Amino acid sequence: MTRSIGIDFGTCNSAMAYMHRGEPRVILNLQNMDVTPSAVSLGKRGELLVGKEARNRAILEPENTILSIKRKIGSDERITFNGRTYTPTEIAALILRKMKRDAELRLGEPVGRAVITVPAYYGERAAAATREAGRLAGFTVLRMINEPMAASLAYGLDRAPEAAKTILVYDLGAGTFDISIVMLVQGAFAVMGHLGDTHLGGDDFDQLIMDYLLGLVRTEHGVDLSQDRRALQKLRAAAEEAKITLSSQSYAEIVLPAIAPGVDLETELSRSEYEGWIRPFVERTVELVRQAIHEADMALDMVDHMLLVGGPTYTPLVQGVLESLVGRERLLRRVNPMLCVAMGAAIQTGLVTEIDCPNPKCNQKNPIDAEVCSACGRSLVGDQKVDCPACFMPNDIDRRSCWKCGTTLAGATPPRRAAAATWTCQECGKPNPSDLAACSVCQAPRDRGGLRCPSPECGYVNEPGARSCARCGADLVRDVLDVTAKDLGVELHDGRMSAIIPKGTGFPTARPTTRVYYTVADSQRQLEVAIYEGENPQANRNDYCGVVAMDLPPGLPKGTPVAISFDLDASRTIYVTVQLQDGSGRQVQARIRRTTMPADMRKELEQMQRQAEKLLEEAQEALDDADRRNLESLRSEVAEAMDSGDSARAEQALPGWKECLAAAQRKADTLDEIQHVLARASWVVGVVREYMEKEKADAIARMVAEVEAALGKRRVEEAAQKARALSQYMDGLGGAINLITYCQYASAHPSVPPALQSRLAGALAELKRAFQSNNRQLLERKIGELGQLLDEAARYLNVRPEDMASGITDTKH
Amino acid sequence: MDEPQPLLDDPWATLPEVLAADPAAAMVQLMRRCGRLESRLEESERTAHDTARSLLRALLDIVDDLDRILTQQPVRSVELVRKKLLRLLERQGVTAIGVLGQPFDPALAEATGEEERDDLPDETVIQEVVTGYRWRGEVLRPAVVIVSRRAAAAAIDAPQ
Ligand SMILES: Nc1ncnc2c1ncn2[C@@H]1O[C@H](COP(=O)(O)OP(=O)(O)OP(=O)(O)O)[C@@H](O)[C@H]1O
Ligand SMILES: [Mg+2]
Ligand SMILES: [Zn+2]
Ligand SMILES: [Zn+2]
Ligand SMILES: [Zn+2]
Ligand SMILES: [Zn+2]
Repeated sequence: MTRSIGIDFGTCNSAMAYMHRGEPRVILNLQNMDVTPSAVSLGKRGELLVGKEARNRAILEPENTILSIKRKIGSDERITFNGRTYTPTEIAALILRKMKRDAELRLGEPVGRAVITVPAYYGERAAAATREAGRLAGFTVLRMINEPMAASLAYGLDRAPEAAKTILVYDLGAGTFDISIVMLVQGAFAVMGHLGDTHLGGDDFDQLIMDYLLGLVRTEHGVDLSQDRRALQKLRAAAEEAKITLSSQSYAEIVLPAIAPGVDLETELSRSEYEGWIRPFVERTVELVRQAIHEADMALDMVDHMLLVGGPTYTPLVQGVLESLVGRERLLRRVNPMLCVAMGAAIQTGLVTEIDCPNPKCNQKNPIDAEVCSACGRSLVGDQKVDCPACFMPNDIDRRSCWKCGTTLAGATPPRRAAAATWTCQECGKPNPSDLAACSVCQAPRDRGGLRCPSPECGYVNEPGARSCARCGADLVRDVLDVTAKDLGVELHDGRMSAIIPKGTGFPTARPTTRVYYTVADSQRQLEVAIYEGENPQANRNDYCGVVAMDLPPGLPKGTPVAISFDLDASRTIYVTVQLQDGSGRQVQARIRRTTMPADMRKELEQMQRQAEKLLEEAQEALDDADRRNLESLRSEVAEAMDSGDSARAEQALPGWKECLAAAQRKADTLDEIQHVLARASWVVGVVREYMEKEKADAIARMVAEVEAALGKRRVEEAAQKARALSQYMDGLGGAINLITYCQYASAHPSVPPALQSRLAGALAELKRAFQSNNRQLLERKIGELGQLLDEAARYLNVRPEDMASGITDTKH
Repeated sequence: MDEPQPLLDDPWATLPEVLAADPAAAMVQLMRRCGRLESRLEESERTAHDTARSLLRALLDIVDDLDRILTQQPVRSVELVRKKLLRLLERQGVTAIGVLGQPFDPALAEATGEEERDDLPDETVIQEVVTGYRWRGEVLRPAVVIVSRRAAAAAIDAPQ
């Protein structure tokens, strides 16, 4: 069996905790620190350094030290590290990997599962990218929960006996400030609102001290250090140290010998001076608190508790200002602000009752104690990985070469795992061998990280995921409802965003949310519903999630209603249903999973997917078995790439896929052309032959037979040549013959409106009579009339698919 | 035949609850109680260790403060306090990590600066700004150091 841990993946520091005897306990890393700096760097011999060691080397290796990767997660930005290009997700995975390894060595058993926290303002892409980082690091990610929810869990506020509670979480981190207002009603949890500033935090305080120090060096030594990268690194570290000191003392000394050639910096900073500098920032946070409360339609006195989260909330000024805002009673600071999110995440590991299979194609829900997915066999207890010696990325243990850089993994061994230790019975203290699941003396089950029974007389530590106490039956599960951070909606034909699930909606949703839209053109043949997430009124400025396409039956009038509904499950997958409301009940359903892929690439892959599908469906005869096999494997590879969100792999495979599609498309186009010629010939021979000489009709019939013979032998190129010759021959028959042919064709074509069809049929019948009665004058008039009708019909015949309207609108006309 | 008669009014009579008890269950109950005590003990040992660690770190901070005072103006009494404090720390098993002259090791020290030196191998610790300490086999506090940088190496490191 495996252990689960909760991870607070922070901008500046990350922390982890696990459930021990029913309570969250912080796991110290191998440096005996309760937080691990979210930093990655390179050692002198090119080895990977993560955490404090990376920070320790930062000034010697500024080009290869990566800090604050959390800010970039989910973006398309690439990071150069050790001469290679990494995605932010990959860098995050390196940090999570170290935490996993440290936790395993600390706890003496495999740690295969994790709950990872993300800010409440994260969109789907950033959350999915963080989840992906966890997966890359070898975790089975149990849940992603948002930070204020974790903080509330850590304070145990969800278990308070009172009815409804309103909690304001004030999270002042290193570089981000977040306010979340959450409501707890009888164990149910919902985020009522959040607001923040993504560039306000402890780093700003450091900067103020830095500016002061830079000024000091300038005035006292006449040296400008603001361009000296190395000196700046030193100043930044000293500034942070002074700031932390000032949280507990009234003076901080800053001594930096040899900060620059001939410059020894030595100064003292008083808390009152420092507080004067940071006051505007602190006041701004208070202003934002008021604004958040206002935006949530609440008043300050409706807040029952205010929780302090993040290192800078240790600052006396921050605490003082907040105390005068809400009063001493309501301000909670019992739990270590830098650790409480991790502790809440640990509590969540004990609350999870089901695991979603991590296999994107499976999605099966499994009971919490399952080790492999019951549907697809995928591991649910994390994956054992080996780390690539060249690029450091974890690889599945059976890989021969690294998926990222191709380096051979022959010599690489999986990291040492602590020997399976005996475990101590929580009830009787007997040390038991690690393969026993229950105590050999008293039968009490092993502590696997479940919750402690809240009943004071009981206090029994239950299995993870238990819904009620196994000893006394008290309720353990605390329902937790999450809320969407951004609008989720569709793009209208004019590019506007139309929200279907607005920001702040609780999910998983109990029932789908439906909105009705309308087609934008007469006889619209297709519908493409592009789905976006975000609050920009212009859809393509938001995060692209995916597209759902639907073919429409011919002859639909403009303004036909189309109902689109969205449903969100616990892992934020969107279930989309598009239903045509023309009485036919025609509908398509799609599941849109969140991936970390850049929008452009996703769009491109989706387009390729559609093209491959279309070719397989509509160009059967043009393709030989090899083509079909290629297309089929392309289809599944593309689907896999999209599901896994692995853009690096997709990027590599892209040229090959494109080539394969282009080859198939050329064949399909050729066949299309041949069939077009054959169709035309059959009209000419079948319907128009009475208007021309017999030899010509015979010649056409003979050429048709030749084309068909070549096709029968699958000699497509030869057939194409013969078809081209046939086409030229038919062109030579003269305008009238061709006109009549096209009019016959149009009069029977489904996309030509019925009224126009019958006018065409009428004109053709009159033409025939004129021809039979040899009435030249009438014949010519009718030909002119047909020409006009054909012009009219051409609109419906010649539309290329890309010119066709495919959009929707939110108003009927 | 004489049936053995129950002794009446025997001051040592076994209580009926005890007679009714299941010895195995009683044993389990007893062990459970022991177990809870033991785990509480382990818990307090752990917290004691953690508390000791943070206390020792705080004391090291004070050593630093004293060091700085002394470098500014040597005061004999302060000197004595410092010595006493260091001896106390030593008795608790806190020992200084000697990194001076060694190759820089990010596990033991934090680099706070570098200086060009061609007479030393690259990344040799040339100055300890803050002394690092070990305690019970762990790095209680990393040292803060200045390391040497060969001119050539620095040029490669920071191209201009
Ligand atoms: N005692 C203290 N007094 C003031 N500031 C402190 C103290 N301890 C830590 N900090 C500051 O807290 C910040 C780190 O806090 P924390 O670990 O909560 O941030 P984070 O979670 O990594 O950042 P974010 O929330 O932006 O993701 C740093 O700026 C650090 O300097
Ligand atoms: Mg944080
Ligand atoms: Zn599965
Ligand atoms: Zn590699
Ligand atoms: Zn036992
Ligand atoms: Zn109970």
